[in-house]
Amino acid sequence: MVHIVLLAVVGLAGGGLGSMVGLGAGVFIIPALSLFLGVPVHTAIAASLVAIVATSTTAAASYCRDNLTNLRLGMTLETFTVSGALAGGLLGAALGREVLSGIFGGVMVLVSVYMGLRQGHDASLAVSEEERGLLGGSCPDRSLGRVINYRVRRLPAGLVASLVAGGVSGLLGVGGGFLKVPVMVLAMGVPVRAAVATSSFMIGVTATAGSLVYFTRGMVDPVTTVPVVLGVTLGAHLGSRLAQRVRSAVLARVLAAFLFLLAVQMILAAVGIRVR
Amino acid sequence: MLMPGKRWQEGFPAGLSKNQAEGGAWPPSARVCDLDSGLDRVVSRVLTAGLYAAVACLLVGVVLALAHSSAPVPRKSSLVDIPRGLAGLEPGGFLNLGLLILLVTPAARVTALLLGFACRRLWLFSLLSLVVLGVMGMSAYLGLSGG
Repeated sequence: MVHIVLLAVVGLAGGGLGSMVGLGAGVFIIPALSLFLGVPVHTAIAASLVAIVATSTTAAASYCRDNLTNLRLGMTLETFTVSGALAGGLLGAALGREVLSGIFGGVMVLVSVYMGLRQGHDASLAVSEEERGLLGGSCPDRSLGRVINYRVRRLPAGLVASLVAGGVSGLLGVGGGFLKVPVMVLAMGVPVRAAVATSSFMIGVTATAGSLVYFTRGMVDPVTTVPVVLGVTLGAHLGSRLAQRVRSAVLARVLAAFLFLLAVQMILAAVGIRVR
Repeated sequence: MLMPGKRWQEGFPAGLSKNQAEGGAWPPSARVCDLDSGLDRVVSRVLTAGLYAAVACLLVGVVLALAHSSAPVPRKSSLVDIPRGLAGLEPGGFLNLGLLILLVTPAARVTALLLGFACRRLWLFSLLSLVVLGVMGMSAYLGLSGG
């Protein structure tokens, strides 16, 4: 019984943190389950994928209701994300996880440091209503007390990042938000709050494909997965509410800190040191 | 039920009027997505309905598992055992059904967007939704067939 409660607590923490920064919670759940609770890694990955769907569904329902999600941008990027996830799943055996971990760990260290140091990003993005374009939108920022109009820039960069994020998701069993959110914020000019909401919106679809494969092949353990999912659902609900009351600059710093920790974990994995 | 923007209005900082903060028209949600206005609430409802249905099934399964603690809960997911489990009021049937509902909810939301964009004559985004749905279907098929 204690084990079941601990599984739910891991889900609660993962869902809360993941929904606040636009990640799928897999980056928290897989290490916690396999490192601290002794869950076999394949069972942990399967539980993580289902939990990502739960996190995304819970957070996206809240963000959509509050007009934070850019549906048109999300669907545009999603075509490349799911294609990448499919390709990543099929070509997974061709590339070593260690190589991928090393490359993305290095890139993520740079991205996280840049995001952590960058100041006042949202204020510099403001455009008029007419300048938003087909993919742009408006993001009500409760903490600033105003609506930010923004225009989406460098779409090709976002499409490439989405394809790569989907591929990594298919390979590693994570949501891919750790790549999509920084690229949307830094390269495409999307405010942090809208990027987090749009990433949460997209992650569920990416994770669903992998989850269905695990589920139909009998690789999802209900005894492990259900407590995590219930915990994640509650955590994601609370996290998505809390995220709207936190300033974008703080949210960016939190995201940068988590990206940095994940990057260190990936680099250690690349050199053979398993943290999870 | 809250009107669009009402929730936002309630969270406004003291001393800042809605027109000062907004710089013009109100509510803000009316300007957020001029092209796909209202679609975000449809998506939210689809996701919420799927989530509630899944959580309800999971909770029924948990209660049944606690009530019949002598009967072991299966440690593997199974699609074909769901009807039998539901008929026999077995916890495994409800737990697997809850997980399955959760997993198909994102596909339902893509379908809702496909139809919503089509109703608004946003054909490009409707086509993109169809592509996403197609890739999801292909992925599930390849997984089931062991490809």
